Amino acid sequence: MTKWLSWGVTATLLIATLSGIIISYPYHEEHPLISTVGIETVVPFGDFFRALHYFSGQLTLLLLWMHTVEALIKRRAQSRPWWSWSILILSLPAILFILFTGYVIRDDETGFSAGRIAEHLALSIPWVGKYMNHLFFLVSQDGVHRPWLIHVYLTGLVLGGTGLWHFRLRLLSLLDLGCWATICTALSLVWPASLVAPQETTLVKGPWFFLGVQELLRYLPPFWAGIAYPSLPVVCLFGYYWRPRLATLSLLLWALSYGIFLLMGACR
Amino acid sequence: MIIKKQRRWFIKALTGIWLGGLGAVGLITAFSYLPRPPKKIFLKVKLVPNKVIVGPEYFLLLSAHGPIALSRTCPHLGCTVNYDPEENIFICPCHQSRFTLLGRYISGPAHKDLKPLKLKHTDAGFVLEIA
Repeated sequence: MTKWLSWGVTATLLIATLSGIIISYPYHEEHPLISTVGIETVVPFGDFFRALHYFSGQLTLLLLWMHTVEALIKRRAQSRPWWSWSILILSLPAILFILFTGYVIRDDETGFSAGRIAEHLALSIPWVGKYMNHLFFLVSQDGVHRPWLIHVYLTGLVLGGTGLWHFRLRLLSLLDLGCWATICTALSLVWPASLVAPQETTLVKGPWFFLGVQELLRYLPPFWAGIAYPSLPVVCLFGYYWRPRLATLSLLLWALSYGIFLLMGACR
Repeated sequence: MIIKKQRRWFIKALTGIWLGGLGAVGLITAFSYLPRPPKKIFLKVKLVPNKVIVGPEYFLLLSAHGPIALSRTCPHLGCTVNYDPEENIFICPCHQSRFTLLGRYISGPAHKDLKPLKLKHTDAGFVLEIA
């Protein structure tokens, strides 16, 4: 199970990166939505490669999440050096951020709103918010330029980081890569990658993993709902190395509450 | 002796160029933080009572007090507010903040009114300022 999951993460991330390289050629950050629509409609096999990129990215997040849960259940933190555990933990928010910026840079209805919300959430961070916004978003002034750069750079960094760890153990086998490539291809052939046209609507839903935060933002101030609350599991996962019981209890409570908010957001 | 002087002069010049370059970059960075001038849009439209003109960044309508323009940016988290013709109100699609046609806050997490925009009526049409 462990090997299947960890190599699944590496394989799907590799597929997402390769398909991302292909669709980055017809993609233009100055005209994000037009070029994304162009990829879907004009570029030969563009819709397939975009779907492949989309589903392999989603699978990377799901598999990494399962890999982390499995590492917690099997108490792998204690058998690893703290820095190795930290890299595994850091890769989770990094993959989430890559996926989130992937939504932002397509600049459709979901992406446009997600970018604006992310910008305001970054600005809600005390003292460093302005600099964080300038580094990662600034979508209201600079379009999707910065999220696009972060999407590309962070992918390279995560692939390098996780790849270095996994390839140190053994090389990614062709069988693993082939299996995951088949799953991603099957998903891409059955479902199209999501793209929501801008319209005069009264409800815009964010990325599926962001729905809980979106729901919570209706009730709590931006900093608490959008920064503090989503950061809690990362803090708990880091803390798991030293205080496993307390961290596990906190993680379970957080997961339960987030699941409820996610369902509430999805049912709207 | 001459070679030493030349070397010293070269190092001084190089340091000057480097410091000058750093200063120039600093100035450019500082200027980028200055507020940008507002964007002006010229609109040649005829306003009719009870009809809202929805622009990419603004709402324009004829109220009882005359023509008004409102920003479509939600004061909560910056989403683009939409016009709901069924309820005749403005709704933010992200977190459901609601506003009257005058931009007054009704409900939702925004807790602020929609920002009014500067509007100038000329013989040729309207000039709208978006800050």
